[in-house]
Amino acid sequence: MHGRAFRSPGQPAVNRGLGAGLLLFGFWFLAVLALF
Amino acid sequence: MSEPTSEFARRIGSRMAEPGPGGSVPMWSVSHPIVLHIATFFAVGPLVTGLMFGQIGKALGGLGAIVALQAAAWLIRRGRIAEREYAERTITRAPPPRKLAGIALVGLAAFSLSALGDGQPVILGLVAAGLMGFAAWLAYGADPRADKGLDAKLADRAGLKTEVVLAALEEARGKVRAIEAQARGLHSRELKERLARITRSAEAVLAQIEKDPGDLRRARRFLVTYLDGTRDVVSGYRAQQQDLADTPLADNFRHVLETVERVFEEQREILKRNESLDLEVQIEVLKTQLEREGVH
Repeated sequence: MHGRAFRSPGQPAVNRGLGAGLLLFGFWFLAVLALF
Repeated sequence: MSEPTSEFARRIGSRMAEPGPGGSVPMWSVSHPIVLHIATFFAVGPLVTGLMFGQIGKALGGLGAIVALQAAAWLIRRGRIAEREYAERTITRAPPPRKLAGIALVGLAAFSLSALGDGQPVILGLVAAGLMGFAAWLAYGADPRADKGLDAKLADRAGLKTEVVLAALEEARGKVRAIEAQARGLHSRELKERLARITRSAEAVLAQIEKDPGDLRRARRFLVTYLDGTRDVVSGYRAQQQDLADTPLADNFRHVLETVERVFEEQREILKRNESLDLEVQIEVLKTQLEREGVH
């Protein structure tokens, strides 16, 4: 618990990665849609 | 989770100072939700083009998304800090649902970007909000919801109410934080380090009490006297440190801190060994020393 940067201890790494990817793609997509 | 290196430490190839038991980890070891900051950057495009071409909806949608995402990032980071504290404590209440609020704000940002910024129907905006909220939940998780260690068995055995234990711990922690805040204003590096050691010992004593609330009885008066004494002495010294530097009074101040440091270490050892300390003697020691050194 000490030392390493504290993220979300309950979330498996796969979920965190998926969530981050989905967030990035989703907001990029929404922004592009809104842009044009 | 048990690796002793932080992300920052790994990057610069060094190790982070191992905090003592119950000691606090520096703020920067709680990571920022970087993805939300990048997403904020995406939303700048609609805001700028909306402003350039006078499309109010687009600009408002972008602005709404930026504000909501930044607020979400702030909330999620606060939630992580609270979660880390929760993980360190043996008995504590569940923190307020900051991460959940952050996730809701991520959904709001998606709604703002699609329904306001892109003029999509409300239903599609809601779908986008739901999807992004789900993604944020995947990435960041929810806050701890249950109170921890409040079943009061331990406290009851010691003849104390859990509320009393929590309140006493909270009060003592507030004092430790006050000492830390005062210490930041000192110029002398040596004194700062000494105070950092003192607050670490104090936190270790508090962690010990958390594990066995029965210790509270034995440690309470000690904590009150020593934490109050240290805080008052430090704030008094801090107010006049410019005038006091290199005077005998500065030496006296150092002596008092040495005593406090030693006594805290002793108290910690004694609690660990489950012995009782002659508190009255220790409290008298501090009082007489404060009077003798004339720093109080």
